[in-house]
Amino acid sequence: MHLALAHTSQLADTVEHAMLSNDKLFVVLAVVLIIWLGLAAFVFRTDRRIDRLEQKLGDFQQSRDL
Amino acid sequence: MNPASFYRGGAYRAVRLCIVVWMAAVLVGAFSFGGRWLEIPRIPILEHTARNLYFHVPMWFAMMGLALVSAYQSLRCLQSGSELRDVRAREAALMAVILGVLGLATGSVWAHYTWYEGTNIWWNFDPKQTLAAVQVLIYGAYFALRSALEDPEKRARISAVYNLFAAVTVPFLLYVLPRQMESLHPGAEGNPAFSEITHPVMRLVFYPAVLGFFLVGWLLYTQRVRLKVVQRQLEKLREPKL
Repeated sequence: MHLALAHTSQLADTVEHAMLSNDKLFVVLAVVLIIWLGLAAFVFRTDRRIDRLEQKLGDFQQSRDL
Repeated sequence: MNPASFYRGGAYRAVRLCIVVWMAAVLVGAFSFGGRWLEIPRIPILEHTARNLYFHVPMWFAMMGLALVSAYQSLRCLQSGSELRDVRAREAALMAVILGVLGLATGSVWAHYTWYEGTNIWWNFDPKQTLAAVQVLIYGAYFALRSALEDPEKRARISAVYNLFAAVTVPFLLYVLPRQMESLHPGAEGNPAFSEITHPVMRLVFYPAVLGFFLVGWLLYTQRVRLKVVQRQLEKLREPKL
């Protein structure tokens, strides 16, 4: 238990250290990744849903025309 | 224009590709260093994180833009009672909330490694942060209100009125009030927001980034509207014919 706690705090220290290295360049990277992964996931998910629904809509209209 | 044919068109896809390429160029500009071109001075505490100006700030601008679009659509919805206007107002508000949440998250990360460096603090109730969080909650309440109303027409009308009030709070909560208070954000206590320590070369990336984020906001918004329009069309087809 204590070992696990020490391990996580060590990990946190490592992350903290890495983020502050290279004049804090990785903070910018983190911010960019938060934005782009967040928005990209949203765009792709919505696009897939639209494709699926359009397919359904097309099927519906086809079956009605027959 | 009919949103269905518009979204299906090749022009929309071409514009979408252009926006992606534009934002990729902004990314390259934002991360160019080492050479002389677009190099920015290292300011103590800020260091390279000054480059977050290219992302965090334009994203809040895009959030305000979408809030404005949402308010405009709500106004037109009240005038015409059109269902499509209601859909547009809702989706613009949704994207504003998502950009707001991302803005709070990125701001918190940025602050942790600069303002609160060496401490374990991620959030310390800086006035601008707090009021931005309140702003996101105000828009969150818009969705709570919508989900409480069953009748579509009533929901469209009442939420449109609420949305207009929500939009009125935006300039006050994000600009007027934080500037009157002691805040670590630039622009507090009447200072210029673009302070004298902002290197002029940063504008070369900042302004394209602002335009890029407005375009991304437009992309997200039109995509969501398209989704809702197709959903509605399917619902109408499934309704039993009387």
